[in-house]
Amino acid sequence: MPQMVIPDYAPQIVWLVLTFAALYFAMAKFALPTVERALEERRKRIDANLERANVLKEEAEAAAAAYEETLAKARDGAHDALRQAAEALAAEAAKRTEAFDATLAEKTKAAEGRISKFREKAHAETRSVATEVASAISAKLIGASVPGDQVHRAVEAALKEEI
Amino acid sequence: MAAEHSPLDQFAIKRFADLQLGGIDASFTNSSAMMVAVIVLVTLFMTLSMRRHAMVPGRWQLLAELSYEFIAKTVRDSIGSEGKRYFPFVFTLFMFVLFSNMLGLIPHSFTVTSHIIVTFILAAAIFIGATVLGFVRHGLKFFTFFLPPGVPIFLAPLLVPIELVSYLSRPVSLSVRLAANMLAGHTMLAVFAGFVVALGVFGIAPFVFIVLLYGLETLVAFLQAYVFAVLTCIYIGDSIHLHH
Repeated sequence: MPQMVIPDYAPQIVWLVLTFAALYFAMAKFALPTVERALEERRKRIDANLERANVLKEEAEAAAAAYEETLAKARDGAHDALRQAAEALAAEAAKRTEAFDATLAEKTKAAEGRISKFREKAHAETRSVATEVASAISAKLIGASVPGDQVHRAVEAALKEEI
Repeated sequence: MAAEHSPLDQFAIKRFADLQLGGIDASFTNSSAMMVAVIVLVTLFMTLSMRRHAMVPGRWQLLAELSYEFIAKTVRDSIGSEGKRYFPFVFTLFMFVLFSNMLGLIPHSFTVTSHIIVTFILAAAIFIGATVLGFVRHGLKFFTFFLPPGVPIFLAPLLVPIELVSYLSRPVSLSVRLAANMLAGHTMLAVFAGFVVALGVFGIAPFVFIVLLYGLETLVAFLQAYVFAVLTCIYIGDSIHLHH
């Protein structure tokens, strides 16, 4: 069995020690630090990118909050403006209604005055006409002229009864 | 069957050049050639793939980074944050064993790790290193490792020898596990390859079996390298933390 050939041990041990030491040196001094650097660089890059993404996210959130605030403010302002406009309009309408009522009342009063004047005039005319008619009728019926004073009183009495 | 067709022939050490190093036989053999090939390939793999070390890795770079992170995680899990110091050693060990196992699967090549002397030197170095580390970190308190805490003192005469034997058998089990796996796998492949030739047309059956066995052996090659690295981590971790 070749594994049991003792004289072959020495060269194997010597070469094992030599080659293993050489490989250890090459790995420890050159190969592994390169790999470690590459991995480290990548990790740093990823961390930095993640951090930047976080910062950007926070900025975006702040911007969104500011936008919401502005929007809310604008909405409030619009509400106020609407309310003020409505109040102003209502006040104006009330003023105009009042003014209109006043003129209406004035005109109504004037019209009523004119109407009562006309009515009195009409009454007066009615009396004089009634008196004349009554005098004329009584003259035709009884042939005697009734004194104007009596006719006048009779008409007045008749008008009173009627009313 | 003639001696040169034995399934064990593939493990023979062949000297290419006789060398002496301070009176020690340091001949350049087929085993030495494979070791050199292993370290050259590992070095090329780890340096060429990382040459550009791009932010977004390509295939080869990803492979190198995955190897790095795979072993880094293994070390971190069994040793903890202090394991960083031993990471280059564990990584070298894993790559050395993995490439030795894998290159050995190429037909007509040689499997360095099928020789118990190679795996035993590695395991012994790990064992001695871990033990020295334990004494350096904990002094004589390291002996309490053989008596787990919370064990009644009257059990000590029974338990301490058991723990001691189990501790001392670590280098043996570590080295034998790897070498025996490689030896058995390659021997089996060679035996069935002999059947393919011997059976003629019916050789198709062992041929199919060899194809399947090759897949299994590839898995074993990786798994044994991983087990070797994990156990090394555990031994180092034991020396640092004493009790787990």
